[in-house]
Amino acid sequence: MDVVTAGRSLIADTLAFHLFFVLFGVGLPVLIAGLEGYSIFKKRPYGRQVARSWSRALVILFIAGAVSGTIVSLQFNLIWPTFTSFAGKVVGVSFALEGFAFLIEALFLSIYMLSWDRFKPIWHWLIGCLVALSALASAFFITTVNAWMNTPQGFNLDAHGNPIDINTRQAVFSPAAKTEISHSILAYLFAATLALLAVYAWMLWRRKMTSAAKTRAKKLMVGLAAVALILGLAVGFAGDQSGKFDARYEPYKLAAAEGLQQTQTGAPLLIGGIVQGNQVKHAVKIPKLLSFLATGHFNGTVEGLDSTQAQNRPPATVHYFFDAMVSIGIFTVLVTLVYLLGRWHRADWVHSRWFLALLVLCGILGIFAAEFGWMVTEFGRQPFVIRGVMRVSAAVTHSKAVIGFGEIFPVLYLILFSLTIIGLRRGVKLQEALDEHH
Amino acid sequence: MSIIDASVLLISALFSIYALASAVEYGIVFKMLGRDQASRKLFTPLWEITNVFLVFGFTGLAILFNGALTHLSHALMGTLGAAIVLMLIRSCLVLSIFYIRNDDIIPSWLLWPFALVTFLVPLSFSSAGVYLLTGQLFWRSVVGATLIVGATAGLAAVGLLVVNRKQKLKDQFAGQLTFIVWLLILGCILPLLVQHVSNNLQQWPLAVLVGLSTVGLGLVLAGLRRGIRLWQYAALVCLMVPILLAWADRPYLVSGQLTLSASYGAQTYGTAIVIGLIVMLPLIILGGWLFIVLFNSPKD
Repeated sequence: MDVVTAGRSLIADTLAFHLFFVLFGVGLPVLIAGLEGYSIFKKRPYGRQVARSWSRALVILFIAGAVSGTIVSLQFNLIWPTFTSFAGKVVGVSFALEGFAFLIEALFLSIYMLSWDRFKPIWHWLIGCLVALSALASAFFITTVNAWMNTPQGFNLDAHGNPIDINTRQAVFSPAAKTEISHSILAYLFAATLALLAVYAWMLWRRKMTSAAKTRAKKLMVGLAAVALILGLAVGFAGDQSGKFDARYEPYKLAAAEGLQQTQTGAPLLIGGIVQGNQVKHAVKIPKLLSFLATGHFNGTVEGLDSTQAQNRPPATVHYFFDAMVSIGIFTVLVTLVYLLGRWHRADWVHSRWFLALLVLCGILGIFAAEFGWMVTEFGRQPFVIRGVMRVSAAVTHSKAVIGFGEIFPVLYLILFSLTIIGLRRGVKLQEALDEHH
Repeated sequence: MSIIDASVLLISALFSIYALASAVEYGIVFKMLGRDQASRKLFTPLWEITNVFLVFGFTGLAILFNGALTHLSHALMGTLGAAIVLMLIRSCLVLSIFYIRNDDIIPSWLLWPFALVTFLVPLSFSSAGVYLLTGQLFWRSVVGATLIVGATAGLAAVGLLVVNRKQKLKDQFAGQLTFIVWLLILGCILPLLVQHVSNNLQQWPLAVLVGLSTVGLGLVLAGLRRGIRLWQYAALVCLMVPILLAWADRPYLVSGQLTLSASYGAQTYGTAIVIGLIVMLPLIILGGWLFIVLFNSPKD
């Protein structure tokens, strides 16, 4: 294995692992603050009890998330020194602000956990809101860096390829920032909500709940499904905007995602299929739909991979990730919609074992969808780390030590992930929170 | 003061805070090794802030002195890679000890590895500091090895003195002993350093270190008779050492190999940290105060 492949694989493992914790690190504080606020203003004390049990899960996830976040930062500096050096000059501010947001989050999360029984509920809730806001701010700032990597601006290059005339504001608010931030943060919230819904569905599926707890769990599930449906539709809208943006600013990413070889008007949408070389074969073709989705016109022109040189094209495997992300998104929205309609009509079958299993599946798939989304972004930018400016091969370290670490980290991530799941199972008493009487 | 000097001060101050927080973690782990069960509650998510200062310091170094990044990545990949592996192992152990098992007494097979990695993580990062100061990996020179021993003693001393600050003086024996060892190393290591890299290191910051260790030794002796508690002074020395050593290394970033001016690249990051600190400071102070109040008050 060469250094570039080892570096790529190491950072891919780290980011994939970290993302699992990011989506809960961003999603859970918002949901907890939302539920606690609801229970205070609507005078439903058991809601606060449930929020407390969720906060325990947040702490356990926070431990692994904080260490993986630290590792991401260190690995970027060590494995990709040329990239960090370049990006630091232009968007270093975003790195610093993300760090501050995390500092505030960690500090106030400690206070939040220590003050459940000691502060008035309203003050406690306000601290929870601060935790949620700092988690959102942290995600916002770090995503501005990724958006800049996709649509770099706010600098010129000197004769040696170094950035000069730096405009930090332009760099931080690059063209991709709006669509990428909205799409990713909404997706985290959606995935976290689906995961919580799945946990309660799993508890019902096991049939070990008291009848009072069962009733409360069902009420909670309706609330979570409603939130998930709204978020799912919002993610879909943001995704559509993101696709239109890609067609204009990152056409090769969209072309790779859709296996579009040649620039054409009335481009078809490819669903499924098998990637062979750079082609997508045996896919279902829906005529003109890609043009419509990308440009708003059935006969709009969509750029294909032929408009760039072969060595600058992203791999066609992006198609798999893109299809998986979109399919999961549509599937999970439909399942939550059916669940809500079923509850609306008091249908018993939405709490049958097979439907509960479907909800559990949605929770797992939601996490995968978020992972696939980032794979579309990262693979779709290849072979560049900063689109059009710096190739991945130019950004990597010269140290061969990175090859040795390539095999240790995945094993450790797997152990840490397993321990986190065990910690969640043993340390978080969701059922007790539903059982308690007030 | 030039922007480069201010950057050196900023980064070394961030590493100082990391060192102090790590030292307190050392102290807590020592208490756990002493089977003090109350020490279990001292671990909270707040300790993840320790890593924030590490990330701030390391990213600050990487971004502000980005001209050195390729050099540092090549030289320190092994050491810092090992540090990252240790951090991961530590997180696995934290989850096992504090969130999975409910033992009243933590079993030795978990406690000792936990203690070991907790001690090794900051030392791994200290070894990067030793590289900057000597231009060599720490095991390749007597000076480097001595500096690592000094870092170990310093972290242990500060940790023990801080966590035992409310104990009787006779129960602070271990802290005082390691403090003396640390001060002696700080005082005696300077001739070695000067001999090794005499053309590069500035003399006056080293003289301040000698002064600090002399005063410290005096305080220990006086404290034994008059009951003075030394934890504030130990914390002060802990904060000063990284700053003074970084200052002594000027104008070099990597002693004798790479100057600060040749590696300096970006000032936006430094500006952002300074502005961020000013804007966030009230919130950080409020949060810190609330945390201490809650932490020290008994539960209802």
